[in-house]
Amino acid sequence: MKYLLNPLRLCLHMGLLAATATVQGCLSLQMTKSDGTPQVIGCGSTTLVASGDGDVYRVKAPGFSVRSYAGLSGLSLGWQEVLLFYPAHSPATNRMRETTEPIAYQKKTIGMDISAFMLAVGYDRVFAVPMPAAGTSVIQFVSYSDREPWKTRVERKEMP
Amino acid sequence: MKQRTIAAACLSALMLVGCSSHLLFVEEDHLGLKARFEGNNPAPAELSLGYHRGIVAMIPQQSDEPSGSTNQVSVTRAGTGTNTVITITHDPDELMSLYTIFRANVGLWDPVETHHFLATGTAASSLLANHNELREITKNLKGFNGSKGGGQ
Repeated sequence: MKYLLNPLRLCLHMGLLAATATVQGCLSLQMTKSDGTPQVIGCGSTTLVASGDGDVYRVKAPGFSVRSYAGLSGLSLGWQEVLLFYPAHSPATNRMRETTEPIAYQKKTIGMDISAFMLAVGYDRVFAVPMPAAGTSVIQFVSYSDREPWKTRVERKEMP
Repeated sequence: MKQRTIAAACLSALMLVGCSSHLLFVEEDHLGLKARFEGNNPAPAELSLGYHRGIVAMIPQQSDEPSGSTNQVSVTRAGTGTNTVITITHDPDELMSLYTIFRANVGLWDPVETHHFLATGTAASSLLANHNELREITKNLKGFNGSKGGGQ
């Protein structure tokens, strides 16, 4: 009874139990290739879900997974799905600056997630935009829908 | 003991990698337990249990390092013969402008739908000075069907 009255401990233990049950030997390392696109070593998958006016990659990593993306490093235990948004390349018009890093990402975790200065147990979803270089003015647009991936637009322009 | 030390070293290295990064815009929702920590403080700076949703936009600075300057703008004049060159330098500590619009479908099992526009610095200032362009961007973002939530 005393155990049940401590919601913090109960929640943590339930989360650990659920996460451990889902691991079942699934281990993976999420990282980026030299061209900046994501790859998963181990149990997990990377899919290009939209391409054209911007690329969107979906990374699925069940079980225990270590992420080593810039600005998104951490560990997860349970189910994790990451969407990485890369801007469209327009070298012909030189309208958009090419970048090898995602300009935004969405991370969905069910289980446990540990990153720099953050611990989450349960369901957690984060959409985030990394900070550009100091003093750089940025204008960017991200539009994505699972229902209509062909309408995806990921654009970014930087001005020093 | 050795394994424990290696695990602790790996975790510390991972944390340090994360420390060097910052985020400009964050929209999050969470169900369960979430604890946030600040540097050199083992006690959580923020603790939430249950459902929590938040939107945070950071205002970027001109420079990462504090300059120590007390003037918002410094003007230097250099004269060579008949030509005079005036250089206006903004304080690196000065905050930049930021304008953002976020619309998304944030349901637990719903398909992902995200529409986000962001402008910082001179881009944001120029945009805010041009009402027609701003209205057009806002109208286009609101044109997506099925989106809910978000703000600007």
